[in-house]
Parts: sequence; structure tokens; C-alpha cells
Amino acid sequence: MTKKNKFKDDYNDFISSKEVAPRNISHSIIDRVKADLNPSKQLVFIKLLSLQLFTGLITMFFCPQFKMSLTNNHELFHYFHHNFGEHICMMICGAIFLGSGAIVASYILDLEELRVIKNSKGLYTLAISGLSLVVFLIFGAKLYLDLTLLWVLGASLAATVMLAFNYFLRRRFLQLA
Amino acid sequence: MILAGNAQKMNDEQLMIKYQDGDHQAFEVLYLRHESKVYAYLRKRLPDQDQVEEVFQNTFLKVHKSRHHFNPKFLFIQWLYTVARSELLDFCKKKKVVHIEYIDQGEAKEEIDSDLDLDNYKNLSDKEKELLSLKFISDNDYEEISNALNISQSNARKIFSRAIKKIKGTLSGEGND
Repeated sequence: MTKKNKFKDDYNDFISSKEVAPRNISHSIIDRVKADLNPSKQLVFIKLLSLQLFTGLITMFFCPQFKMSLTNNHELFHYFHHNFGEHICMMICGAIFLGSGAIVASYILDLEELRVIKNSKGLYTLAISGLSLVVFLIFGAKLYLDLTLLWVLGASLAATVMLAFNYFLRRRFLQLA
Repeated sequence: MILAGNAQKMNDEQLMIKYQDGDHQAFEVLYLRHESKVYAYLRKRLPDQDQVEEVFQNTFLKVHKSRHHFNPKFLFIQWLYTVARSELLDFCKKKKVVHIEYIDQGEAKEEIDSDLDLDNYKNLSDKEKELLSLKFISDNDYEEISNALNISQSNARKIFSRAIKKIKGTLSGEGND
């Protein structure tokens, strides 16, 4: 029997074999998969919030507002401000703040956790942008309604788009690998 | 287990797409469709029940972990076979277990039928001769053989496999001493 025929016969034997597995093993496998496919929403939110806290802090080093910059070089901020105006600059600011956290989260969290965030239809990112504003207030930022709304819009939109895009990329990559 | 009616009508590849999207019911349907094939396949190849259960669980957990690697353009059943076979080989290599290779029983039967005098095969033990005659002359199944010889079914399969190998060796001239 050639190796190829042996393999083919082995496969044919596989598809024609039938013997039911013990019920306790079946239940244990199905329950484990079910739990894995449905991660806790609260836990996912806490993980996303923690990652956002970390990356958000790093972006603060480039922001002139909270005097946290290490380089004191605010050319990027001034470039946005002068070229696009105050309103667009606020949206970009929010997009960088939450978008960067979303990119990091896209490659650290499990695909199932990302699916939970994706299925929330922007609720998680909206909640995190709201919480971020509260933290900014605590640190003495002055918030104006129109600019704040634009910041939230830019932040939520960028985070949602980045999460969806990188989720797609990761799945494609896994399928090709 | 209550399964969605729609999922039951889907083919394996459509179910895999749903499973990749986080639908645990799709996994349940796939599992119930194919668990008997995997279990029976492993039962024929591993002598110990605990080993069968371990490799069986590992196979489905591997399917779960690698679900995003599956490309729905290909057949799920072939992919499942590949996973089960590689898990079996990995397990045997790791635990130094000798697994029973597939033997085409039709082919083996043909060879034996053409020369039914088992006394010609001096390298066969009495137990092996007895088992072969129960299998091919009395046409008993493994359950009946195991009862007749007072051995386990997996042991009967092992003895059968060993005997066939010896006969093949003799017929091909390797066993002539």
C-alpha cells in the first residue's frame, strides 16, 4: 500500500466510523467553548479601559494641555490647530487619544473580546470617552460644550473604526497564516 | 440540547463561518454532527480508554483554538480529520504510545481468504491465530471476539493489527526466516 493510498484509506475510515462519545465529555467540551465564545462584558470593558488608560497617558506626552509633555515640542498640535481650525483640531485630538488605545486593544484582546466591543455598537467607546472627560476635568481641563462634543465624536468614531478595521485585519491574517 | 432549526439545515462550512463569528450553537451542531467520527477513529487507534478521551478532547479544543485559521473554501470534514490525526500523532509521540495504524480490512480479508490455513504462518501466536479465525472464519465482530477471548476490545484490535502485519510481512517475504 503506498503512503498516499494509506492516507486516503485512513481518511475513508475516519468518515465511515461512528461511535458516540461519552456524554460528560461532550458536555464539558460544549460548555467550555460556549464560555469562551461569550466572555464577560464587564471584564472586557475593564480590560479596554485599562489599555486606554495606558495608551491615553502616552498620548498625553504630546499634548500641550496638561503640561505632561516630555519634549515640550507641540508642533503637531499647532499644525492641526492652524491648518484645520479649532473644531477639527478637537476631533483629531479625540481621535488620536482613543484611536491609539483602540489599535493597541485590537492586538492585545482576544478576538471574542473584540467582537463583544464591536457588538456594543460604539457604546463602550462612548463610555470610555465620557470617563476620559471626567478624568480631564479632575486634572483641571476647561471643557466647552461644542468643543467637548466634537472631541467625543472624534474619539468614539476613531475608536470604533480602528477596532472594526483591526479586527478585520487580524481575522484575515489568521486565515492566511 | 436545543439547537436552532436554521443551524441544522446549514452545511459544515456555513456553520464554521457562523462559529468563527462567535455563534456557539453553530459549534454545537458541528460537534454533534462529527463527534462520533472522531471518537470512533481514535477508539480504533488507541488502546486505552483514557487516552482516547484525552485525544478526543484535545482535538475539539484544537478545533476551537484554530477556528479562525479555517478557510471556508475547503471542506470542514477534511480539516477536522487533519486536526484529529495530528493530535493523535502528537499525543503518541509525546507519551510514547504506540498507536494502531489503519488496516484495510477488505484487503486483509482478501489476503487471508486466499490462504486460510493459518498454520502456515509460524510467526503467529496461538492467540493471534484464534483471533484471526474468529474474525475471518466465524465472522465475529470485536465485541464478540473480546468476549470469546476474555480480552478488551482495544486489545483485540491491537492483536488483530499485529497479526495482519505479521501475515503481510510473511507474504512479502520479510518474515521468512
